[in-house]
Amino acid sequence: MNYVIIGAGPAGTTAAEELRKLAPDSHITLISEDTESLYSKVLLPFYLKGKIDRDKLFVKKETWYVENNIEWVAGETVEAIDTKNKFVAVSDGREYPYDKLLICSGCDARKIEEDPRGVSYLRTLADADHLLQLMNEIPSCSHSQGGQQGVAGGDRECRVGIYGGRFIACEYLNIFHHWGFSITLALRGDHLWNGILDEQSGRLLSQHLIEKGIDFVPGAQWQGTLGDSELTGFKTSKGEFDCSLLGVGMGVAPDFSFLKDTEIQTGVGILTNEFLQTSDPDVYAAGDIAEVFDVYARRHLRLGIWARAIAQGRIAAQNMTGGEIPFKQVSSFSMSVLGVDVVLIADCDPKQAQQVVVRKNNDESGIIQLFIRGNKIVGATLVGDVTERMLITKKIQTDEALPQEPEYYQNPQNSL
Amino acid sequence: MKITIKVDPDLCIGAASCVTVAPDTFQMNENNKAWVLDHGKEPDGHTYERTFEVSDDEKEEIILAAQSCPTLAVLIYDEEGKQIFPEN
Repeated sequence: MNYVIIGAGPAGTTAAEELRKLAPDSHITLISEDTESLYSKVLLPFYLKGKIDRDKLFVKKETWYVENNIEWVAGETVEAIDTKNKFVAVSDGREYPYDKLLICSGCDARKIEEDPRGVSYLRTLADADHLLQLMNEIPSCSHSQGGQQGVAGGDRECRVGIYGGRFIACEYLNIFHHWGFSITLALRGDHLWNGILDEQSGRLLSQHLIEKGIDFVPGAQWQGTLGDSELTGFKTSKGEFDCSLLGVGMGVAPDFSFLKDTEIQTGVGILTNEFLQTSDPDVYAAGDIAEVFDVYARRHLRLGIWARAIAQGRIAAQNMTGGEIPFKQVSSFSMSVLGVDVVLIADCDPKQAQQVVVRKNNDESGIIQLFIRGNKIVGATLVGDVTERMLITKKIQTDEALPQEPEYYQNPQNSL
Repeated sequence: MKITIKVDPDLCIGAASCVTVAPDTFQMNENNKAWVLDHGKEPDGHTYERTFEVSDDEKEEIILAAQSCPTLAVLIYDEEGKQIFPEN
């Protein structure tokens, strides 16, 4: 059997590892644009704060692939897939035939139009290396004393900017704050995770950022960078802001160009059933590019979460070798934003909920949203106090109807 | 066989995937980091490091839990003290 996997991130590499165990005599080809062996993107902020060395980012040694008899075609892109004759056409000029194909090509960071020196993204190891370089080029000011607060209103050279309102913008916040830079954070929404967090949760975070000395500019539509070959700032609908380094967190988007000759169905990702099978029965998808029918949410979800990618890689491999195992995981995303915990669990799109219940602790230092559909909790957001997160996760997993009316759970004294 | 499991609280970001995969071995604490349990129990109280007996299946599950951690904060050592995950 010929198994071809596109993408060598956590989903693709885990699938290759599992396929090798389940089908020891098969031919496994792993095609990736990356030339590095598998590393964790989630560890990049630790590297950028100087907390771990670069070599600690890697999950697999470079030799792992050949040791496991996996043909790793590194540094190449997939140009087309012929699903009728079952082969993948790659930029190295070769065609790789497959019996079963797995697409784990992930998503790329959305980029702005301009590219002056000073613009930074945070998606790949190359991005992280570039950001380190840019931070080192900022002339010494109070940031060089390592971790001390930057001078408020200090000169442009010490000021950094961030444009974005979700996860990557918050990683930039943590990194820049660690090094003591003066920070301007501008975002399109009224608060962080606009469209997911309610106003109260958003306000809790906004106030915290302001208390930490961040210049916080919500409601700012992006208009462009300032400066020619070197960044001097950026402009928005709320004004112009000076900075010599700008972290951009405008989300990610999948690349479907290589699917153009196929009839594989896509939505915001490659659509799959709960077995990770696409509309073509011999083609599977897993990881950040997969929009999987979620058995708990009962609708398709695309979530970019490491543990989800790893688990999907494993299940895809099992199903490609004859299994029929549904992917079942209540995935959550967790981070600390300058010391305030934020956890997003499973399906937390308010527009898809029939009801949203807000539950606050007594001093409002912790705010929870429960998303309810069909009288069951399908997702939640927690900001500040996240101690109920595992209880909520279990509730979603048990898939049972709530014993009380949803409003009952507004009161934090009423247990979930 | 005996294995040693260590959660590095400096690397732990509270993803809780270890708890999802191996709920008898990991549990979130009030700081949103994972304590290590011995078959669901905490002899001598909370800790980020334990050594105890496991079957082959239990060891497999614990290694899967360690692989699921996005920051490689779960370290596993064999009886001789050799690090078996992350592989280095």
